[in-house]
Amino acid sequence: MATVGVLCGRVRVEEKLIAAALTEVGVSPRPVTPAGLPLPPTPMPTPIPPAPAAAGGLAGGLLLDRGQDRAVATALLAAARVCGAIVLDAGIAASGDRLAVASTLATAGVPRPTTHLACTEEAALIALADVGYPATLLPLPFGSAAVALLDADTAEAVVEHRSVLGTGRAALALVQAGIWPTSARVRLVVVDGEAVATLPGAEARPAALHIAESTARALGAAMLGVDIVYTAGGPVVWDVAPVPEFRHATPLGGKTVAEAIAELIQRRLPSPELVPAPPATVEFTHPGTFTIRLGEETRHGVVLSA
Amino acid sequence: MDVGCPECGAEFELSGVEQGEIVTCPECGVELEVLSVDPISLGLAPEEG
Repeated sequence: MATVGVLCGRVRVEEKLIAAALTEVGVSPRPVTPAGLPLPPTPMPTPIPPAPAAAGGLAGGLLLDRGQDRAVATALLAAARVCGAIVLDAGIAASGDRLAVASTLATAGVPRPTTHLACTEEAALIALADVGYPATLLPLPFGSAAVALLDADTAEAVVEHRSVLGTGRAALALVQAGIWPTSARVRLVVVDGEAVATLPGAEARPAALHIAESTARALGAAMLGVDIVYTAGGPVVWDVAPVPEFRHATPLGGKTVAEAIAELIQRRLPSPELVPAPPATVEFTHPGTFTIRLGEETRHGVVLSA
Repeated sequence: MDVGCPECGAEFELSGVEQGEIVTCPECGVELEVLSVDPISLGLAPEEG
């Protein structure tokens, strides 16, 4: 039975649903916790043989990103890729922040609200004056709560508070036009390019499905939560969620989010002849020359040094 | 009484707790705050920092 690593700090309801769906299709899920996964930062660690073991057997395998701590997950996913793992994640939303997502979507022509990046307190207030009130301050890291700004007095207090009491990074934020409570948004879960479920909130219209799928495509996301709001100018992407919750989601078609993820994993599982990679050995035969044996393959090399 | 973890859905027994107390889910390890005691309801504990 094929095994798939599921990166998660805790096994929540969502991860249990995914595990059940994977088991149903004959794939064995294995929770991968950040604390239990030392990874080399290079593809050729020294010594070479422990690499697959150090990667928790992920070399050449498949890792599903359900990491709740995005800072940890971002680092770990990069290391897993270097080790040869196939990673299924939210693409730019998994490795970047709200600014990277906003920039990518703007470049791809996906509609978004009027947005400014504010690097200082002064810049934030100028941006707010431009977009008008009410407006929303979105910290760059995903998972950081948005702040609704109803008027200039509130905005000045909030921006000053963040600038004075926060770290340097806390001064960075996106300023977006409008405020949209969760109940007024449409949260769609996209898996492998298809919007498969919606969460309680506003109605999911066809245009919203199209924008959500365009968003996932632009970000290179295997799976993604997309928040859409209906403005006077049409539906726009308000925010995205790299690791969306879906325990209360309603399927749009015939499959649940967990089932869609299990199907995606089935399609993306590496072919058995490619994994696991055999451990390599290195032997220095003469001063300045060496031999690498990888399975039945043998290669000779010369050490060049400065 | 049996309570459910709002994070992982696990059911476990809890008694003798006070409102505001922080308990840990025995299955997923998440910290939970006792929101009310009659009946007991749990929510995710606020994160520090």
